[in-house]
Amino acid sequence: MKLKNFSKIYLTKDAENYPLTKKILKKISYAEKHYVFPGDLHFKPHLEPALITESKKNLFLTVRKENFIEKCPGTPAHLCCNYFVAKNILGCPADCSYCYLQAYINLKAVTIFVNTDDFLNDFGKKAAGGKFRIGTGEFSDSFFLDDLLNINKELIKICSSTESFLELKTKSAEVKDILGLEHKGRTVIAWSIAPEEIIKTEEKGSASLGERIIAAAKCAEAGYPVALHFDPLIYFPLWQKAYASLVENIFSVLPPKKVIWVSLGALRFHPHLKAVLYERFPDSKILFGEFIRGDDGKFRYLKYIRAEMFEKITGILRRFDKNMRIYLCMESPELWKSVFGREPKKIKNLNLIFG
Amino acid sequence: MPQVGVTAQERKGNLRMKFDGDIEAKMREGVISYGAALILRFFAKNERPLLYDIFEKLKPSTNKMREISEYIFEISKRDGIRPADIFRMEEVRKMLASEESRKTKISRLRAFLRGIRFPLLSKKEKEINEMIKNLKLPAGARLKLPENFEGDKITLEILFTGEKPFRKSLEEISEKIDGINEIKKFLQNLSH
Repeated sequence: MKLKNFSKIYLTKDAENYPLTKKILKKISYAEKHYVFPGDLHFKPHLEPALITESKKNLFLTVRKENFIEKCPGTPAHLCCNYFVAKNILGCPADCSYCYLQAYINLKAVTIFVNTDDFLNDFGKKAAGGKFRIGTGEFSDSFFLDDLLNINKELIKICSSTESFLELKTKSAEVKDILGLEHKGRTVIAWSIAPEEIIKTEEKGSASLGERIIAAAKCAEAGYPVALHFDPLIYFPLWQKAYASLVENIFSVLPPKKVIWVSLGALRFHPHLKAVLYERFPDSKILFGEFIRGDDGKFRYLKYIRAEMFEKITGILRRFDKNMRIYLCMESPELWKSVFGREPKKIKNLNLIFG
Repeated sequence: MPQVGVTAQERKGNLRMKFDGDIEAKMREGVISYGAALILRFFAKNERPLLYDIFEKLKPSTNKMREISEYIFEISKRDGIRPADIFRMEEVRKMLASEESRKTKISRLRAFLRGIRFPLLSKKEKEINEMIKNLKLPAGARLKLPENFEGDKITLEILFTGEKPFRKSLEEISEKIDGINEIKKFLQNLSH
């Protein structure tokens, strides 16, 4: 990620003396500096989409008092995969058209919690307390800002002595800093993956498909388990061909056996995202599929379309490894039964995730 | 159906979005609703008068106006056509030129646009409604299906005035169990 993209740094008074604040201010010394109170940066995303664009160029340095690690809330009436999300950054400098954070985060900047020791402490306690999957890639990208934070090394080290998995989820290819680390197989490097035509049109500021695949292969070579997230799956003309060629491309470089898990999640979105996307990405067509409003208030493809995509893509993946650990993200028991014949708790190799 | 979300507080209060002059003017004149304005702002300026004209003539309610605007916007963007092309379609021209009441025209226009916007959903609804119709349930009985086909649970509603009509309804419905099972199978079959 190019740091020169940041033009303003907002900070709260209580953040100014932390080493990470000093480091960031030094590294991005050309940016305007503004002291603020936490509430000063709030806005209504669906009413002011331009501020989302603006937020990608700003950083907000502040202190989080507690709860760095929280259970993923899942979504009502859909099966949850027992994931824990680590919140040390809120927001992402990349600019994916479909990103749910656009309707979720209402701050005019990418927020970094600078009390790193508190975060690491919370993370360490959680990771040591059981066999959890904890990821930093839900509220941001795990790698885009690591040049500034340099925190992945610490997290990998902590997790290597626990029975938990750390999942670093990304759309970048900047993995060189972690290749030589001692991880003991407890860190999973995960890529959000989409056909090249979707990456080009909908995932501005992220690495190309080729770059992601090469980075994944390097991590696999360094002994890291690799995960692939086909999320969001997008239904568009010739989608079957595009996803088949995507899978083929991946496994021509990355050995399928190195993939610890694969998730499939069809595009879903909060109603407020529509206005934001129409305004910020007028050429995007991804919201013109047949979306219905689910029990959880989110829009998702009609179940017939979801089932077709899940079944076809599962079939394509299984051609490369019939035992590949594949799960559905935020889906109903009905869809699980349709695609896999049963719910996840009854699928043996998914114990690692749903057990 | 999909709507650009907006809270009541936002509609009323200072959080209201500001629009181009033509949209603000039509809102002041009472021709278009705030909800419709939220969609109309995405249309090119020269495409909006057509919609103003239709809404002035048909006077749909706030929600229906927004729904119609949204269908037209999404169909035109998806299919790479102009909103005017939709109104040039024979079905739409006939509908709008007919002698039917304003309410009927609105209802038929909505249904037509919805069918184009959601072809698979509309096809499935048509098929299942036909199956329910063919069941010929007794008067006062109706099947309620999961909204938008999400799920496979069917609710049966029976209206009755006493024990005798209740028993009669139950007997008649029991005879239709094969047909109900067909509907259940239809809901469980996720191919299209």
